[in-house]
Amino acid sequence: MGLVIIISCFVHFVSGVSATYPAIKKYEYSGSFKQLMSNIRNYTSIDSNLSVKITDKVGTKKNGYATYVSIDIKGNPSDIEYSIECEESNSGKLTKTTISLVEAYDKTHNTGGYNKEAKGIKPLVNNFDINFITPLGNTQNIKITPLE
Amino acid sequence: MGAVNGPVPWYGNFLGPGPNGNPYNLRGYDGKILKPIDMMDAAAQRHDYAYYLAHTGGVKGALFDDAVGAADRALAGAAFDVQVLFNQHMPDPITHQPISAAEEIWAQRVTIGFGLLGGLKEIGNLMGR
Repeated sequence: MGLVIIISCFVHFVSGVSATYPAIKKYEYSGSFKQLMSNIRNYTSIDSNLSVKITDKVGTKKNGYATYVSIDIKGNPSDIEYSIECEESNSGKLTKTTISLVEAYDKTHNTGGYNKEAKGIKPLVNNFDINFITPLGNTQNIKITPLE
Repeated sequence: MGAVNGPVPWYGNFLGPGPNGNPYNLRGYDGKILKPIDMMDAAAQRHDYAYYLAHTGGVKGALFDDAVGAADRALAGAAFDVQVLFNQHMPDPITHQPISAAEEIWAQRVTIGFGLLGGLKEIGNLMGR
């Protein structure tokens, strides 16, 4: 019994130190990451209030790869910073990209952050849907589906 | 403490569950980029970065990903160094203040936990797991 408690404490400690928050919201795009980025770049090129930058490419062969993209929306009354993690996966001939919203932060009002429970996160997620995901889909004729 | 609008980490800004993102680009409560509060916290930030680069984390990353074993051993080594400085009454190189009791206690936990974990992963690597 004592050994079980010690092992449980060990697992809880090392996994907790290494843990990350779950995504704020997830979406799925039916296509490759390259195609998604091309569509995002086309969309942002027609709106000077939007800027997009690939910030990191991470991963290993065993764990898979992910690309982090930062999206800045300059606006009235707020400047908002979003960060998404994009993971491409293949099953047979089908390629899809899972988009995880990992940061939604209002730089003007210092609200939002990195998790679902962060103060002021809901309006920022709605703003992301209304002012980025939906017009991206409509203008580029692509389908991005919320997963949860 | 920790990334803007929490949750609060177990210790400092980086030791404990944290955001999914580059730990060198995270924002704190004041909207500025998060900095480690001391030597122990800086080691935790480096450890988070290694896991981030390997695209791993949580139970799976901690227990089964041998590729980040070196990061686990480095974290344990840095935590051991904190205890050495504490016992020698030397200042923390980041705060330039005496090492606090809280920092030393977390350093003990990390040395034991991640020393053991890093050792097990080294065995896993040697066995070609």
